[in-house]
Amino acid sequence: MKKMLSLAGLVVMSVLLYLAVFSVVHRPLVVGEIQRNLDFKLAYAKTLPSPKIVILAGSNGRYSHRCEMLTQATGLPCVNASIGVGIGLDFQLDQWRPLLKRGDVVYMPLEYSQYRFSFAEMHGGLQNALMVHSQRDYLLSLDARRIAAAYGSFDLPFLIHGLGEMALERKGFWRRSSTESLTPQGDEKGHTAEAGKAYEGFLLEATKGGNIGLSKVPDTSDTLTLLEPFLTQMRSDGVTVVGGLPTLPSSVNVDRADTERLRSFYSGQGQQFLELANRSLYPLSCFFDTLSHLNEPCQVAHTAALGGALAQLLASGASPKEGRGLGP
Amino acid sequence: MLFNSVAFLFVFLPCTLLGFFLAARLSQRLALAWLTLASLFFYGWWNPVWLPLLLASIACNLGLGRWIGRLPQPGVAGPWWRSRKAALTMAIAANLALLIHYKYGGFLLSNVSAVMGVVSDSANHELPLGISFFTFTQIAFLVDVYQRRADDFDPLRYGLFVTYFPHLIAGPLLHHREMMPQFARDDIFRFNASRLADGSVVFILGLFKKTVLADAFGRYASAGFGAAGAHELTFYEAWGAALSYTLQLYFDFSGYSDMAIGLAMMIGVTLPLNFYSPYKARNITEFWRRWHMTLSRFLRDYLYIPLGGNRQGALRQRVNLMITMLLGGLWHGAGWTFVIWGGLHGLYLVIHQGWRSLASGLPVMASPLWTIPAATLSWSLTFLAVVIGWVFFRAQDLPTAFSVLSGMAGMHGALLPDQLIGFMPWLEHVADGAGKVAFLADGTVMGAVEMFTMIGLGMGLVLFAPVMGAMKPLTRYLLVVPCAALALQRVVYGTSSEFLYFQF
Repeated sequence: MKKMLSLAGLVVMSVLLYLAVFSVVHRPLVVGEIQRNLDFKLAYAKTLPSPKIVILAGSNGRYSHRCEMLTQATGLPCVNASIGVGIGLDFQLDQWRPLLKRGDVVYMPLEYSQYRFSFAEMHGGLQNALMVHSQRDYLLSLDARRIAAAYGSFDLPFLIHGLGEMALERKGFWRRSSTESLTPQGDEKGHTAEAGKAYEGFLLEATKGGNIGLSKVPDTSDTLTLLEPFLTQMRSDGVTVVGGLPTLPSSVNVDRADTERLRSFYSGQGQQFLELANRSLYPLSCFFDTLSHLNEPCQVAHTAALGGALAQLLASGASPKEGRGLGP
Repeated sequence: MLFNSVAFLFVFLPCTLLGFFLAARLSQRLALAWLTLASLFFYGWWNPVWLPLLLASIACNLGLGRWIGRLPQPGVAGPWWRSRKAALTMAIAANLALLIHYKYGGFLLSNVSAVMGVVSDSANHELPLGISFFTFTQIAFLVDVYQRRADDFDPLRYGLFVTYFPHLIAGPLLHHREMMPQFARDDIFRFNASRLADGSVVFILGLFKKTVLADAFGRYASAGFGAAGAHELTFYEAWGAALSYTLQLYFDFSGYSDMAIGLAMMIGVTLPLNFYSPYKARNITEFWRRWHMTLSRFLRDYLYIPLGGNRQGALRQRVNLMITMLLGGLWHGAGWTFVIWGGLHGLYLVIHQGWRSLASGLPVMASPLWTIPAATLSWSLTFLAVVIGWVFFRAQDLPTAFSVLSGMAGMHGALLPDQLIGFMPWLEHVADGAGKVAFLADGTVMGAVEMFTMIGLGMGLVLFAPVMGAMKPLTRYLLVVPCAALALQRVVYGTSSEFLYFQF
């Protein structure tokens, strides 16, 4: 029995060591940058009067949209709240919900993949580390399972990344995308077509194989389950949510049925859906470093088209209507 | 059920052990029956459809074994079909027929159809889990009966010998004679906390190898091998994928073997060693003495030696080696990539045999100055040969394998993320820069850093860490501290991935 007790003690020590190590080891260049992005954008949003526009999506939101142009088109101040697709959508909604006031417009060109996420995927994102290291109060407001999952989200790759990033940060490693590469409104800037040349080979490789299923939207998913009460709540709070399409290369086959499913979902909750004539599809030469990030000239062109359409939609008196509920 | 799943660790294993020791208080046979039932439940959890097949295979082989055991000694007069050899041949043929039907039927049909130029419906059907393992285990039993080396036909112990859950699905391949006496020993029925703790430690370390190391390497390997069919891999992408798979397979199989040994230890049963630091081998013969040792033993005892082994001259020995390795390759899977992998290893062994004869006469080989360079060179050559073999083993098809190999040969250039080159400028002598290298781990700069760090860590472990059996018990216990929480984290918050050897 002595050996069993020793083993139990060693396992407890292992757990304590795990918690101790990961309370120190963090990822300043990725997770830390997400928190800095979030602080930057939230701080700017707090300065804005309502009504305002909030762009909320994954990274396509900040690379492919330019707030100042939406402001020019609509006359409303704007903040680009988008950070990345790998950050749980529920976490992001919780961060922004307190700042959404009557009359505000939330434009949501979520990446298609986000609609397919399960709760497990949503809760397995980088926000776990972020909550443990930077947002403990918010973390402790969640249920016990989520708290345990956040503390249990650290693994060996995180340790390697953490130690590497901490060393790189000390040596002044330059990160391509950071708060310094953002406009005051939170859009990505400086991702010129010239700078995008370094990624040409990568983008060509990424388009091989047809990208089948890239734009698939499911009938039901945990993301849709999460969004449904959010849209309803926003409707009753007088906030207009406008669903939109993320930017993708025109070589990707976006099924009409998928976009109609999205339209039906947003309008079913009494909200709006905006689809540009080109369905947000652009030539491959428009993309910067991934198949969802437009380069700066195309970011401007896309936002110009979007701004006009959004202004028209808002001018037509678009506001939340009584929803039909989810499903056929 | 997977050893690395929550259901196994927190429900199945405690219930099985508790039930076994409680039942043993009433009767040893009841305890054996409980363990057999638990093993069948473990097997059926995956897909209960195959349970009747497993049970039928056990019943038939036990019956055949008894029959062979009762037949007269060779030389005693009687009809041919009453001879032990004929009975053994028929029994082995029946087992192989079962294996061919389930495992090789589609492969054979598709190849025959291709030769005849007709379209066949040879879609891959689901393979009964562990069929290669339980069939080979029982073929070995039949041969042992034939050779009068097995004479315990107790149905309960035999059933447990075949189905015993630590080895049922992915080995080690057991001999009847090394297991049956253990199930008859009194001490395994007595709860022993010290044994349970020792077994748990080995299990935890195996779990760490599988969930923390093998699964991480699996992600990097999948990025390269998944893309190689449609894309041209560059040098570092191809080497990253090949080395990652080399390490994934090692830690996956070694981790499984440790877990199996640890589980058996918990009730005082000893399973044979299946791994002995194979990547430390300095020649291919040594590699096969260290890798999947129980399969090597099986192939040697039941194929290579019956074929004549090395008793009929050098040429015949080389033919026997090739046949053994080709069939060994085919045992792993019904596909040409496995045949080529087996053939390559056969060729390696033949070359090594030839080199050994040649080198023994060279005076330089005896020189002490030659010892260190020779060791380095022979290890490098052996490791390179093994990695090239694994490319065929892992690739979905031959074009994919050749695509990875051409990348490894540098035929599509050498790219690294330009940020990495900017940070370490000396890298520009060995690579061109690109914003992103698509199939180098997850395509990100830090993903590439993670992969290279993990490969370094993995190589360090496989080359310098002592084998589990050679570690002092205190060292093993102390290793629990860095390993247990990380392994538990993967079990609870990761996704349970299958062991690679399940597919064989």
